[in-house]
Amino acid sequence: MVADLLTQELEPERWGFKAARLSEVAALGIPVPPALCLRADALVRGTAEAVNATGTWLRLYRPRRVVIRTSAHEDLLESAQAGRTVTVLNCPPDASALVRAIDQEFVTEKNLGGVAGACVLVQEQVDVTLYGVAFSREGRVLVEATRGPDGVTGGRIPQVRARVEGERLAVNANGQTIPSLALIRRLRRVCRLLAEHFGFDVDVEWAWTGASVIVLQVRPVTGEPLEWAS
Amino acid sequence: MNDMGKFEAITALENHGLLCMPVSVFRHPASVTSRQLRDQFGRDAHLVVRTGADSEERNLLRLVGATVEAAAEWINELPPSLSALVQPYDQVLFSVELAVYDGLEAAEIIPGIWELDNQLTPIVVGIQGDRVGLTALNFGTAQTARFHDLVRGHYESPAQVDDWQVATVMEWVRGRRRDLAALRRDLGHSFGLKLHYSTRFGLSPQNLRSTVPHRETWTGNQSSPRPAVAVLTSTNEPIPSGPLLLDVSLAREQHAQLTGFLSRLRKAGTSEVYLRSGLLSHLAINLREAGITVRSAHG
Repeated sequence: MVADLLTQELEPERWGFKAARLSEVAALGIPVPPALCLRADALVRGTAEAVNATGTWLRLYRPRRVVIRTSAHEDLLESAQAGRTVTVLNCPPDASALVRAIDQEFVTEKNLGGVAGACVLVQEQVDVTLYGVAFSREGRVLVEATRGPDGVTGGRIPQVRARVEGERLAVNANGQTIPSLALIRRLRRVCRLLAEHFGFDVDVEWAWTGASVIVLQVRPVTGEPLEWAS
Repeated sequence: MNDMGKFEAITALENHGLLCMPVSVFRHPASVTSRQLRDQFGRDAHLVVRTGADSEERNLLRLVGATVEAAAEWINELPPSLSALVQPYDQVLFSVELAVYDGLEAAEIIPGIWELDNQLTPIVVGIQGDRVGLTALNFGTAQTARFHDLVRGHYESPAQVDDWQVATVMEWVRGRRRDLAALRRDLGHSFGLKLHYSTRFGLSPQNLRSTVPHRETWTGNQSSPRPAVAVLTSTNEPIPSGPLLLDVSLAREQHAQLTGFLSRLRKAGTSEVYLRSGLLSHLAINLREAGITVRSAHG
């Protein structure tokens, strides 16, 4: 069973929380990368239709590079399990190769915690100027950003750190990076919309095109950052 | 620190390659002709004429957006103690007060023209090598900025500093860091620049300040706790003792009133004030020169 993430809202119990929340974000009108969702239990039974569907999806969206992600029972209110799910960047847009890799490497008990209610996302890899993570709580937003697509989540030193509290903004940037007020302004708005919609403080992985924030993932904030402790 | 007149300031900026628009200086002029100005700036040019004394004074006479004929006539009627600095008119889009230290440049940026009565809260950018710190205290809120064009004269419009202005200032500073450092070495101390941005000339220094806040003002190394402050909303109010939060506005032409106000502050023993407007603003400069410590009111 397959689903185009941009065109239908997905239930978390059937597609995992990552895919389900991203489909809700898309429905809110906030940009998310196009993604094809392949149900794990269907992949176990056979991959012929997955190859056909992935080929059609690749011809429709024509991504230059693809990311493969798992979506299962992570990103819960009590436990984000951040980084537990599997992400592979820089995959070529070849349907047979993608599905073969998914079948051999992704659809495992370890990756999906059982195949029921889980899926694999074949997602366009956005190629932008800045990537990062934002935490939002009650008008406060913390932002960290790097130039690489998995820099912040991968533990690299951020090129930009920003903190918004009410109307006060403080940004530190290094490595010739120019602090972007437009980015922080849009991120704050996106975080507010997502927090209102989902009903929890949000941890958002994002990409910045220079004009738009693209949401790559949303999960609840499960631990208070040190900056908020006071 | 030695006071520096506008003429010396322009000469110093020119010598260090920091003057970004043509400026003609007429020292103590009495017989400037419109032909001289036409030859220099073109027949249909509109001009700005600023005046300078032999010492660093602010809020002297100026003429904005004049024809060459009007400019020549105005210059020739100046008091003999003043010199005239003539430059092309161009609409100012944003203003910067830049403080240059050893290893640190701090810029306050506001939209429009930054004059004495401007109470806008600036965006503050501190540049240390390839590291940048930016602080905005009214993030996301447009402020009412003052502009000037030849059709409307002075007018107000909602505006805010955004990425493009910040990037422009950062690029300007980084591209001229060597020149700024050389000027600081020549002067023998940290200094400030007032800059205007216009479409035709980009960022161009308008003046050079010999006084700037202590470096710690920007680096956050001040350790003293914030005391309780009294708020002063008018220059005519009685001045209470102790630190003050100044929430006052003084128009450019009210310099005499400012002088009187500074005198009253001194007599009242005021040694410390907090400002909501910029720490590099005209008001802040005058307060510092009166020996008063100026701090930001925004924690």
